Amino acid sequence: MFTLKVFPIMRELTYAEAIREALSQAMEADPTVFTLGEDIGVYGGAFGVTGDLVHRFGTERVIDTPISELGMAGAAVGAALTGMKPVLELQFSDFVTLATEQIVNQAAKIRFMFGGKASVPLVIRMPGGSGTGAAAQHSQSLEAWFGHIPGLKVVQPSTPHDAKGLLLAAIDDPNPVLIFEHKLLYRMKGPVPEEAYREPIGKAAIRREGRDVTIVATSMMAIRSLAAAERLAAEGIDAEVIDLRTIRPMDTEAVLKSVRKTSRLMVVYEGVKTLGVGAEVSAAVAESDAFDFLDAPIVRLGGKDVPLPYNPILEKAAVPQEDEIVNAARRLVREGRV
Amino acid sequence: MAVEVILPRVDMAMDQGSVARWAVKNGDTVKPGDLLFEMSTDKSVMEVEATGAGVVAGISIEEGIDVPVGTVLAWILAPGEAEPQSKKPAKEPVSASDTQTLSYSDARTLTPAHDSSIVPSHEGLRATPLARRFARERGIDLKSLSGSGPFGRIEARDLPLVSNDSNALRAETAMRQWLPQGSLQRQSRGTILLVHGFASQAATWDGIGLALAEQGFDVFAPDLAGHGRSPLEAHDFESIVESLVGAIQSLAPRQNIHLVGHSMGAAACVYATQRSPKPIARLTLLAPAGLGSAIDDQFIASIAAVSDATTLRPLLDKLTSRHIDYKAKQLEAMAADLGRGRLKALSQTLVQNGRQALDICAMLSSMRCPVEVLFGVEDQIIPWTQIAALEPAIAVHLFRKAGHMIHVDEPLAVVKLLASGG
Repeated sequence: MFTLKVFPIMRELTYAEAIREALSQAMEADPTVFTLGEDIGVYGGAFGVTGDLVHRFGTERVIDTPISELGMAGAAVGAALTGMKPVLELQFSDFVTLATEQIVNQAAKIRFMFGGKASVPLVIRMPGGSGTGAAAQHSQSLEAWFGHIPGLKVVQPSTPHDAKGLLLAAIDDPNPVLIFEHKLLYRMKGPVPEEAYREPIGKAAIRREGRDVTIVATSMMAIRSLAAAERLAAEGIDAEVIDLRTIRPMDTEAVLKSVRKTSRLMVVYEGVKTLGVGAEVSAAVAESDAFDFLDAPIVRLGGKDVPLPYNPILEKAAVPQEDEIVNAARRLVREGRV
Repeated sequence: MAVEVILPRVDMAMDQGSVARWAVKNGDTVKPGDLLFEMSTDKSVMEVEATGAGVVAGISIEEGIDVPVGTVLAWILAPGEAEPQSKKPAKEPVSASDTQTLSYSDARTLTPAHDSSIVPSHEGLRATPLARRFARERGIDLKSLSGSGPFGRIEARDLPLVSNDSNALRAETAMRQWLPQGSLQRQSRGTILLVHGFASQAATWDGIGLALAEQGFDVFAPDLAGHGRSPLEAHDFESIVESLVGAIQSLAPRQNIHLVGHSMGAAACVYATQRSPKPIARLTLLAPAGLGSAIDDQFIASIAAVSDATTLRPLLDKLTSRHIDYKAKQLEAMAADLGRGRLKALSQTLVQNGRQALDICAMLSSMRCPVEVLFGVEDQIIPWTQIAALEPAIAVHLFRKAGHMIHVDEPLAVVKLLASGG
């Protein structure tokens, strides 16, 4: 006897469209949600994320700001304190350096300093990452900086599905959430449900199950690691790929569980290797009972310790590429080193 | 007479520990039951209380410094008594059950679980943490091996008995073994694999595991899928059986394994015996699941849903006939483990519509090895009367004063039975 299995055909959106849909659904559902940033109104955003939102919600809820990151961040923190739910877009995450006073010294601390009587339900969206030839001041991955600040949550979606679900969860969150989007992902397409769903902040996703090596990755590196894992599978190496999705709070348990199974760990991330996400993940494993399951040294593949070059060949060489991930994982599994 | 205050052994795998915090200082007067210090092991922090009355003297070990088990940390002196000169322990280290105050007169005297020459720190020797742990658990001397890794580093695959079968390897990663001193030299009386029940773990056998090892058996216990340190998840009973078969395979090339299962683990033993490529020598089932349909289904659902120590405590009382004093930290650790929710899916496949979903009766009647069934008459989880389903060829032992955890209520009787010819 046959049973016919019907798979619903899910609509596909780009990463940028998924973010726009999340914003639009949040603004429809809650009048206190609004968005602000440079060129996000009529121009539609430097990467086209906000698109036509200004025509649908008006200039009071889709606000073009002057070129002053500190000013717009201060306005957003203030609005959040009064009960509004601002979603601030920074045109490039590199410009967050100008807004750090408001983020680090105000948004992150206010709830604690007022004994929980005030909170800052603020979301900051900003594109990071290299690969577009935008050079040293427009290509960095600075997420680990903010992961170091108690009071902040730091999210890095790698798929259109997560971009929407994590943004809606971030808007619901009563505390500041920083979302590091990736420039190379904005045009990537993937299935996105139409309803306003949430993805939990602080929960990793296992993109591929495997038993020989655990590859923990973030953002664009999760995409590359997954492609690398498929190539490794053809060689008989079964890699498990964990997309952290949130670096603070970090889903350490998912990593430990995987390492207890595979006995090998590789961390792939785009920020510079030194003092970054890789160090945090590695230390979490080394400090835990999963240490006794390690059968090879831990490997970090991070960005090179250089300002990102403009030269496209050097730019590629400065961050982990698919070939590098394949080679490193192969050596780790076959030879126990990199 | 001066009473020694020593660093006690609280876990069989423990060979050193440290004082996390002194609660007393030299010159303090204490009485039995007063907190002396908090000790930390690689697993937990516990409180150690005074066993005698007197004045504390001779504290010399600072907080946070690792010292071997049995080290004399201080003295409790009678009034006017002088501090003894020697700091060497006057006796062998004692075992401290978490459930009782340490007392030197009635504490069981034990020899160290690991001969220090078996697991040395190996100056200059290179081995991965996994290889070191396997060697430690199996009593293998790493110096006798050559490593295949970079610069001769010993990796897990270089150890004997570590199968390349990844399923067996994974099961092995969650195996517990009890090693009495001199275990490498002695003649083995056989291999016993102890298989825990639902929501339990290998540590439940600590009491009888060591006793059997001391009587000359090679004793192992796996954490089944979804339990304890097992990296495998338990989606259903089949995952449990698979992980047990993996554990049995990992014991190759040992022959004639004696399987001892408790409750759900007993049912798993029956399935695994049928599937095991090697014959099983003997099967002992403690309060087995799968003989009848009745079971306290509320208990199973509640234990799978435990979120904190308060909800856990009353459930534990149903398991044994005698009252066990658990420390708050033990309860919290158990509750935290259960709170991860790993058992929810499994519990729903074990019990359906309030009745047991497993049935081992047909399989039991086709067993080729000797089978014995143990039940406690005071079992509140599975009624002992289900033995009525058993064929006459199967031996039945009833324990009048035991509950569901027979090995906890009547450890000595269970050890005697397991060590006997069968």
